[in-house]
Amino acid sequence: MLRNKTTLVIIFVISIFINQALSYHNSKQIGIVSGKVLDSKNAPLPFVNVFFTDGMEGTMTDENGYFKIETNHFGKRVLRVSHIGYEQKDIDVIVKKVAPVILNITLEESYIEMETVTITASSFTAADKEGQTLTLLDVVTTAGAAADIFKAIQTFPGVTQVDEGAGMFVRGGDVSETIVMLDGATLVHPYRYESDTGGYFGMINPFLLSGTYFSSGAFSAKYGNALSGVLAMESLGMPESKSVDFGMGLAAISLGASYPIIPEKLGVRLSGNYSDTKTLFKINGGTEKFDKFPLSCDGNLSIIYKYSNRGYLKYFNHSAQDDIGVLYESPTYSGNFISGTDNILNNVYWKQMFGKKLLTKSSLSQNRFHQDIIVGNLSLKNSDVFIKWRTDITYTASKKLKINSGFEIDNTESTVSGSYPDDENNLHPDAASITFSDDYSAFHNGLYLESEINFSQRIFTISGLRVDYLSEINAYTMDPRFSIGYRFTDTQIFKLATGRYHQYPKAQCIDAHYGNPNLLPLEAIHYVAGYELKSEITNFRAELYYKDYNNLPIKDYEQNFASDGYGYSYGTDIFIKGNLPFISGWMSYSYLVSERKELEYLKLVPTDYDIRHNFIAALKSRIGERNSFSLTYRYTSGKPYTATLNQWNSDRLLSIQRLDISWSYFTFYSGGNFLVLYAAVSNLLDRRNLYGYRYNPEYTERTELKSTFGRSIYFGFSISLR
Amino acid sequence: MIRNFLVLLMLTMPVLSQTVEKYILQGKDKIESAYSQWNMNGMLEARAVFERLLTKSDKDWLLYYYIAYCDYRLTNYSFSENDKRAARKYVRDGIKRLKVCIDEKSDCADAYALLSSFYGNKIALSPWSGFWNGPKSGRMIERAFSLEPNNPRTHLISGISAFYTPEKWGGGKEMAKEALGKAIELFNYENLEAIMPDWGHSESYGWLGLVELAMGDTNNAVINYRRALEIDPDNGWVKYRLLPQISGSNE
Repeated sequence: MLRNKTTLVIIFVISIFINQALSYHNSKQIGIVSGKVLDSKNAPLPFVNVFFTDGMEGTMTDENGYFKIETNHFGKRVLRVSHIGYEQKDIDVIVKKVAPVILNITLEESYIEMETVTITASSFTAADKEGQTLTLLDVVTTAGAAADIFKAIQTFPGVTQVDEGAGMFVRGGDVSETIVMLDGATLVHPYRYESDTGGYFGMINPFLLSGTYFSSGAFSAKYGNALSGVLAMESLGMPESKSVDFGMGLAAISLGASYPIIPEKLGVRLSGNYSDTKTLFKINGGTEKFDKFPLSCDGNLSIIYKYSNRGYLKYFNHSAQDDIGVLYESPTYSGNFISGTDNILNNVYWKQMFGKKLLTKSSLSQNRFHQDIIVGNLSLKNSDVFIKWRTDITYTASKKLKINSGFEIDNTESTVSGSYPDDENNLHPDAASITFSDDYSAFHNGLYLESEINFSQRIFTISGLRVDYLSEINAYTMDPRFSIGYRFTDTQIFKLATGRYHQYPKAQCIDAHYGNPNLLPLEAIHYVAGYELKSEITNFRAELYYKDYNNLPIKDYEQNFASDGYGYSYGTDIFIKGNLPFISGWMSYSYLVSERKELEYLKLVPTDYDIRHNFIAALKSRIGERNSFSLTYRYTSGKPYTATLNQWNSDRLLSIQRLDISWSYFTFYSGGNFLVLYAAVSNLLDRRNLYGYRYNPEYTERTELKSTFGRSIYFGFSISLR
Repeated sequence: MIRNFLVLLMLTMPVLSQTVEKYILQGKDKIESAYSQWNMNGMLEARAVFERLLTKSDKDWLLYYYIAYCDYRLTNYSFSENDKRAARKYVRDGIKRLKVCIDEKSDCADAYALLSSFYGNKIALSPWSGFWNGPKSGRMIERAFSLEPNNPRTHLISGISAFYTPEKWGGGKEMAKEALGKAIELFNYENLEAIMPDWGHSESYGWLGLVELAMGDTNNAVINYRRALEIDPDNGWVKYRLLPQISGSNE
């Protein structure tokens, strides 16, 4: 026993000796890895974590970016260089006993740091996130926008406002050339109080949205059947807490509630709006004489089921109705224009992440629309049923490469019947009219593939190809699209983009009796060059564009319509958004030239929406914690109109100016409850802007179309309880 | 004989016997010491230790938590230096790390509480973002409370948040005092594994003193500052900033 203990002590002493000897030996033979870490501008990076991945050996760079690691583990090893805000780098090194390894390492700034920069040309995004060009708060506090997302987007460059409605005429394109989507579903009729120029308001309330993407040109291959613009919206997701919102204004009452049935698993949102404008018109007067004051209501339901951390299902229903009876006055007829509309959208949306790199979004939607219009000898009954399935797939191969792909399949069933005047300028009930009944059915499918490549921290490209097919005219289209961006400083980007775009002719143009089923799809080619500066307090953009239109339908005496129309538009858009301590907001200016030979315009002439100069200033000021003031000023030069028979759009109206102001007062209560009081004065300058004329068939008499309101007020409140 | 030799040889070998747990403890010591000394380099060094450990540990969620915790300290340091750019960077990284932590351990109350604090920091960086970050911050702290109602750090973060939130928005000094008092009470009973998050005991007294000072109760503020130093005599925030402020104003 004693012998054993003695042996153990001897071994212990020997082992300590050996260990010390080994340590001494190793300290004589150490490997050294040293060097300097720089950023992409060759400036030294201090406090960078430099370490071997197979142990805890490591160090941090000093204030001059230098590091030195001494090690007694030799051979091939991996040195990791990591710093917040920069891409991590792994470097293979061979550590030797004699020769030190000296490295010069450059770290690239992390792409995440740059995520708020919009990388596609001509696009604006809106969401409740920092760095977005338009937040929900912007939409509801922009004077004159009436808390309408379409009207708020009209304050951006490239969108022309041709009247007081919400119609989006994008860069010399007609209102029908901008596609509007919600969670992947197409809103075939996206306006309330629909008219030839869009409608008076957007269909979707901004309080239902979590994000919006708007592009005024050269957009991605993801979007088809649109010649000019895209407005893609995303509805709200899982409710975070129970809430009830109630609002009441001069012309509307709204009620909304959200309830997480199973927190973070199952939630429901409900809301409804009822709008009756009778009181509004009684108080403010107005130029219109109503038989039935504009009245609308809508209901919204969404149910969200998050079945795992990787996916959720969302059902969304929007049902809306509007009615109006207004005196229609023209040299040939004075009588009531009566319109009633029902618009229902059902959409099931599925979002699923597979692994860490594959994201899919699918939607199955149905949009039902019915409208009755009667005015003089014009009588229309229109019913549409649009069913669509869309799937988008995104594969993020690496931080430098992303592949987008997807398809959409849709079917339109449309019935239009009634009578329309033989001469569009004579709506008198006794005047000649044509009775018709038409069914339209079309099956469309589209497929796209796109790559987003960051070649370096400076250069990125988006290349895509889209293929579409429409059964009604048996036409295939193939659209290549490409954009490239060069980030020449951290805050400045130069972009170039081009692409081919197609859109199918309107149903009445390809009708077998009244149109021509052999028409070709309308075509536009976009060219865009842009510059963007984005800093913490400013976002400045300037873009030049040119659009070449072909295959536009034009009236033809033999075939009803032919695809021989053409045209172009070009211009520049300038946008500046600032954020100073007491004042924030944006200003935009657009110069536009838009000329076409299409439909009844049998020679190349300015389009109805060829408004050369557009200037908008949307400014906001916050005083204290509670008061917010907003002012929107708009100047648009005169739009073209036809004053003489067959001299299409040869004259121009006077310019339009409008000033709107609004005030909001926020009062917060415990638990996140709040009350907002608001008041607005629209058209403060009381200008009776002229938006057009109605003529008799001979163009010898006319009736003016003026602003609906002179100076007018609106006020209300909303309360939110959580 | 040979077996004995090998056993003893292994026992005396340096470094190799170090375990991940020991490095976590080292990292914890480093960050607490750097926080006490208000030393940015020390905070970054502590962060570097946890980052290195990520390559060799199966306790990833805990390491992500600690990296985010270092980011939290660095955020506060950046605010004190009025360096919003750096603060924004640490807030962004902290949120990213905590999301990974929660992905791996969805019942980590400490992670939710810290996440709530980061969303609060986002409001400090951009006051208008309070409209969406305020509810997010509230939801995270609610989640932390529902997971571990007696976690003292959740009460501490809730108290700090209440102190900076006006009464009409659901905060206020009374509410802060109550939450911090509760945190202190719970810290007295907290008994965790050494590697688990346990920061905040001394700090809670510091915050309570600060709240009392703001309520005009200088005596109790001084008492609480001294209690903070009894728990951590090196607490530089209390020793060199909070206490001298009172002495200065008394003079």
